[in-house]
Amino acid sequence: MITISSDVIRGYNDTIILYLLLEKPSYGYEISKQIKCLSGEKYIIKETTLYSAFNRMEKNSYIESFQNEDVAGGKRRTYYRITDAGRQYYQEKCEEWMLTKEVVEKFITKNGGSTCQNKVGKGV
Amino acid sequence: MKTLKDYLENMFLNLPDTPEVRKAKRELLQMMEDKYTELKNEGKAENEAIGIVISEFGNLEELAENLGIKTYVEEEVVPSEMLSLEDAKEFLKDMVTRSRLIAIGVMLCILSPVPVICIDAFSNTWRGSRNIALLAEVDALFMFLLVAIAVALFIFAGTMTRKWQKIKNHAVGIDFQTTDYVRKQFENVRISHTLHLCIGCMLCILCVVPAIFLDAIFPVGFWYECSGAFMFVSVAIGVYLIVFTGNRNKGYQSLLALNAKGTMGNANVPERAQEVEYTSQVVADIMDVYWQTVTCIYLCISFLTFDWDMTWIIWPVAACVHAIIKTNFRKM
Repeated sequence: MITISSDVIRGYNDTIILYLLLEKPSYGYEISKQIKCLSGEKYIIKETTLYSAFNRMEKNSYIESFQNEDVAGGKRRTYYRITDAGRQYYQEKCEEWMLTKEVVEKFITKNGGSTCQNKVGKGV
Repeated sequence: MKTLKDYLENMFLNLPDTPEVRKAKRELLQMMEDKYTELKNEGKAENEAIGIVISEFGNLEELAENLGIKTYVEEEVVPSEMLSLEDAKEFLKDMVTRSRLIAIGVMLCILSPVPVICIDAFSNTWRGSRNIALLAEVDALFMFLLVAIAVALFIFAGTMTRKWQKIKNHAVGIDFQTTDYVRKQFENVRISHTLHLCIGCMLCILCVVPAIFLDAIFPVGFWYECSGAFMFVSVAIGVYLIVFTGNRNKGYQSLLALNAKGTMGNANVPERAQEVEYTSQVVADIMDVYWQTVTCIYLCISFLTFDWDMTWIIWPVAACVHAIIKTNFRKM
């Protein structure tokens, strides 16, 4: 079975997390659960990866952490909220992804055709 | 839940003990517990839930870069050989036996004048008996016999530690499970340790009491003659208790000190047990034999001058000097 290579997705973990924080502040497990759910269980983020991303983004002040009590359980947890710098960074990453996707797509064969030569021909 | 905690403790055992690392550990545990609780609520069996959580945990290499501890994870600070739990148990058992042997040896040394005193008391009380008179001629033999047994015990105790040289050289490490076990055992003997110390000190301080009582009750005769022996007996038992418990504690502490300095695992070692490192080798050598030398000087001067009421002053002075050397030459 083909799974997502962690090398490839690494550059976009921040984007994924920031997207989820856009809506409302959240904490570690809730975010990992949402990622699993929204990706249709195709991507399960590792705890260490998630914490690394939090740690890195907090240092770059894209997110802020604060202690809060869980509404249901009353358990104290570290919550994260997105900052303005984080929103801006998210926008940049989105644009970067659109570009990346556009470029990579060009090299993905859909029907095994030799689209390459045609395009080169057109260009010349 | 405990399994998860142990798993995490083990992962972090050899990482440096910094606020950042501690925070990372706390946060990761929180996430793992959340996931575990939810899996359990979904009706998963405990083992299955733990399996899932651990398989999705990831690895520390990823974290290392962020936390500025990359060198720790990559350099493999984990000692090549790990001490197994069985070895640790055996070591502790050996250390208890060894402590007992040393303590008995010290006790015998202190008791060595007792036969002389008793035989003298006998011969003074029953002057007529020829056998006792003969015994009194050779009473010093008993003293040397006791000292000889004591020395034999010291040597034997010394050979017992040779087997565990690797622990002394810090050539091995212990994992979290063993650390945890040793720490718990250490906790368990704490009350016993305190009791040993208290009773030991009391016996030493009160050593003159039996003699005073005997002298008061029997103004003449055998008991009066040998009342001094009870002082030695009391001190001997007191010192036995103190030496035994002190050495036993050292066994636990040397095991716990096996985790590298400044790592999470090392946080288990009580502050006092951490070996002080000195900046100069000469100072380190002097400090190695410091208290033995002081004791030697104290006994020599005291026995030569018999100014026991004055010579004790050497102890507070020595303690001050020790503290001064420690603060000035300590490696930070």
